[in-house]
Amino acid sequence: MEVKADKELQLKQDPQMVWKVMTDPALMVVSVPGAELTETLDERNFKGKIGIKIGPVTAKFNGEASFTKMEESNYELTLEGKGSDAGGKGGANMTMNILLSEIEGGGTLMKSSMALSITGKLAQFGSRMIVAVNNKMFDQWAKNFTSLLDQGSEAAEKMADGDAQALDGGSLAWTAVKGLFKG
Amino acid sequence: MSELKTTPEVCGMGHSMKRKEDARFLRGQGKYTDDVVLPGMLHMDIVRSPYAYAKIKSINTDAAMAIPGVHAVITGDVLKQYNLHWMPTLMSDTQMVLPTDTVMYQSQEVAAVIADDRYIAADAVEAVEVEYEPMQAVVDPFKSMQSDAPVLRTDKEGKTDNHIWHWETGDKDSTEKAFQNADVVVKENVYLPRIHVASIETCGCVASFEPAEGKLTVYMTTQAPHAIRTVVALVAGHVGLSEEKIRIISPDIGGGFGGKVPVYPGYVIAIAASVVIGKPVKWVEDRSENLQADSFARDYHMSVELASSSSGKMEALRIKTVADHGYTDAAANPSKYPAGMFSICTGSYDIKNAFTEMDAYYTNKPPGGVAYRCSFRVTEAIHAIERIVDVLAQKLDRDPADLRMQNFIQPEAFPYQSALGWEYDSGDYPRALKLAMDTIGYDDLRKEQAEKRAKGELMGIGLSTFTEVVGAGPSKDFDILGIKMFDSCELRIHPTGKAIARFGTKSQGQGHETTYAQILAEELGIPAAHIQIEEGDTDTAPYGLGTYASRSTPTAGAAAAKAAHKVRDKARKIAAHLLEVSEEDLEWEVGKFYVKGSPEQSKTIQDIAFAAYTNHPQGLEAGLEATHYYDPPNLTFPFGSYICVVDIDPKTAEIKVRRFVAIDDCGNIINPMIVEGQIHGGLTQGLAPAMYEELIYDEDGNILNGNFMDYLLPTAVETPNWETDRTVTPSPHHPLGAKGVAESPTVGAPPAIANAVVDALSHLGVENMDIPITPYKVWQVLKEKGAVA
Repeated sequence: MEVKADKELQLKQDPQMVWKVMTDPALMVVSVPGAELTETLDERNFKGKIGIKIGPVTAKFNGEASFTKMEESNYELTLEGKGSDAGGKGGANMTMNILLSEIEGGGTLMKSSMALSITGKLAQFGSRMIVAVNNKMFDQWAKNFTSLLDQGSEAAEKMADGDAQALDGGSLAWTAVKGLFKG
Repeated sequence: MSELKTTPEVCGMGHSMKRKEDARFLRGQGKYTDDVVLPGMLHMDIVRSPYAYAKIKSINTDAAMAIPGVHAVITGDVLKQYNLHWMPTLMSDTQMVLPTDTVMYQSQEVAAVIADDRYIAADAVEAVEVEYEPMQAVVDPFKSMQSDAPVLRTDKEGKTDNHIWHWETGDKDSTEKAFQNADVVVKENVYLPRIHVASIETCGCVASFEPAEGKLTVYMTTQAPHAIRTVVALVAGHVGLSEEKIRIISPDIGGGFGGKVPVYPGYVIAIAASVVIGKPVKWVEDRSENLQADSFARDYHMSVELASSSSGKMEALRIKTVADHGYTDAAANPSKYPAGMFSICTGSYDIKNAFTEMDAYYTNKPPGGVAYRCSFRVTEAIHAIERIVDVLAQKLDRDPADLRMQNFIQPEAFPYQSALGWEYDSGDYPRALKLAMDTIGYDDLRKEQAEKRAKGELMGIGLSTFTEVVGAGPSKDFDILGIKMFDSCELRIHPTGKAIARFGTKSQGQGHETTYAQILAEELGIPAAHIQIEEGDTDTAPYGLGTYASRSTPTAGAAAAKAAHKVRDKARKIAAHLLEVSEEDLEWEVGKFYVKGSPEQSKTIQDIAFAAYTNHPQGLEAGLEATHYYDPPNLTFPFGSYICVVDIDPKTAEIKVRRFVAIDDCGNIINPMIVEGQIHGGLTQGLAPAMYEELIYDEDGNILNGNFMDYLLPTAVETPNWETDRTVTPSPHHPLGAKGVAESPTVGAPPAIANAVVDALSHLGVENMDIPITPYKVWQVLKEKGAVA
């Protein structure tokens, strides 16, 4: 099952700064809820883990991610990741394209488009639930990423401390359900 | 049945006797497989595949084995050591018990954990680490049939495509000619989606192997215990299980509906585990496993064509079908009929030319398909014909009831030879339809519909005038894995005139303990209350092929009557001895023999039974018992006329079934209350696929509604008030004049509902809608036709 999402995020920093943080896996990973970097293979390829819990299903994905496109000249980045749950609950593939552009008067507009393909137990929640969960995850990441850029290393440490656990399922699922009925 | 032959005390045929089995069911004292607890019993739980198609790279069981209370983790490689990793399906295809290298559908069994209790087993399932390499699944049969599609069954040597079989019947040339010469031809693609047999009780077993005696006892949710015993003996003979040491017991079953005919891998794994470990092993599926992994039903893509004259005389029918069987053909049809009794598709109509062909394909979905409350693909066939008849009526601008009346096989035409080879035993279709129309007030409803249409309101009237084919079956044509489809009754009369009878069938809620007793009461005059009925234990019951396809009354019910006649023959000899007259001088009246012309000289069946053990005549064996294996000369052809009225909210597209009249004819009736109960249940299981049910998979083979939150089943709230009545047209060949009944409503209801909804929208140019017809689908149609903004 594939779900797609297009998102935009405005940041105060200039594209060069955003690019630097975004392309550093060690920095980036702390802003992703429930994620952990386990091995850096080279500057474009690395391994990690991400935990997610939706309703009764807890999945811990072990995976690999690669920057398959990194064009600093026009700030275009493609991140491809794939992973599978250690307990055999399924797998996920993700392709994320990010384009940064400078906002007049300062700051960066980040445009991202993501395609997420899910198999196994998580897919059984259906695309509406997965889209809602995905939106929620993006919002949490955006919040974390923004404070990471705003506050620098202090925020990074705080997030790293608190983020060892999986992204909380109960509240996430509930938020997603509420999202379905909104408007 | 016009009049009752027995008193309420005897309670023979035609009495609405309260069900004997309900005394325990209503008290919660039924004994189901999961109620079986044996000393030292272990519990099994199953690791299932998250992927629809993947290579298994590794299975690591260390963490699971380290959990206290875990006895074993069984994988395909373990079973391979005993050559038990593959098994045959009932259609002589092959199926993995556990995989050694590849998984073929989501939720397929990958490994099994045996532990002290169910909870430890479930924890250990989570701890088994399986590394998969996913491959692109083939989910759509129309993609599976393409020449460039990956070959899924690489286990089959030399297999170069995903085609399973081709089947055809009828006269292709004459049908083609009739189509060429016809005034009118209508064509429609009709899809009957994949659905789930949602029995209240899931599948399971307790396998108990006693190493000292080498005896295996399996308590099991199976509709066909004897056939299972033979299959186990054939499949596991090489590991020392021989048939006399295998005992299959089907305890009480909470609904089967065809879903408990196949042998699921879980049964085999539990048996293997018990044999290897030497302790009883219980396996009971949870609800999601049952929904996601067990054999599905339906999934036929049918292209239906009907030719007629301009005056509406149907001349030819042609159906081409693509059947999606999933990973393996695990249907449970008689061997000669890969598409079951689909050739009943000419239905209740006198259509002289017909041809039907079908191709079955493998896909990465769970295997099947079982005959869900239907006599092997009859539901699909009847949906096709009942829909296309309405399409023709619409094309000819004819009333669908009128067009049906014109084309019915007439009562005097029976026995009727259908173009596709069946000999219909009896029927009176015009009478049934007339009764349905009178009951519902058909003409007034049409007037109301016209008035409402003028006001922009949506109301539809749908008909279904179906014929079923049930009671497999005559041994010349019907077998499963070579075993002929007779069924049996073994009857013993006790000295005090009470009786016990055992059968090769197995009730799953049908009420056999009551109806079989009533048949014997009818034939012998022994009160039904004093006739004990037993089924399901292969050590005690006579061999039979089990209960499905509405076959119990047509086969085992007839066997009961025949066994009773054998007992009566012997009773006559004993009565002659007691009354000191010759056998020819005796006349039988329910419950007694009397001397012709001297009715006061008589002996009751109770007197005779006592004498059989205390004073039997010289030269005659003692005792009073008989066994009969009944091989039916033909199938039975129950039929019905259903009319459904729906109202559709033009703004929200909500569909409301306002009325539903069901006239059924199943020949002579054994217990009217049980028949009515069967019809209510069957109608609800017809409403379900018509409006709610469908198993939905995405392009990767993930099931998207694998739980009862998303897979919709109607409850009492959604179920309309069923108005039932009947006509009685006895079967000429059945000893009791009876026919099967339980599946008629499941077969007849969906097209009545679909036809009603299409009828409500026909003035907008709608010709067909595939089930399930949901409000969303109707809303989409209304939008497409510009009827809503």
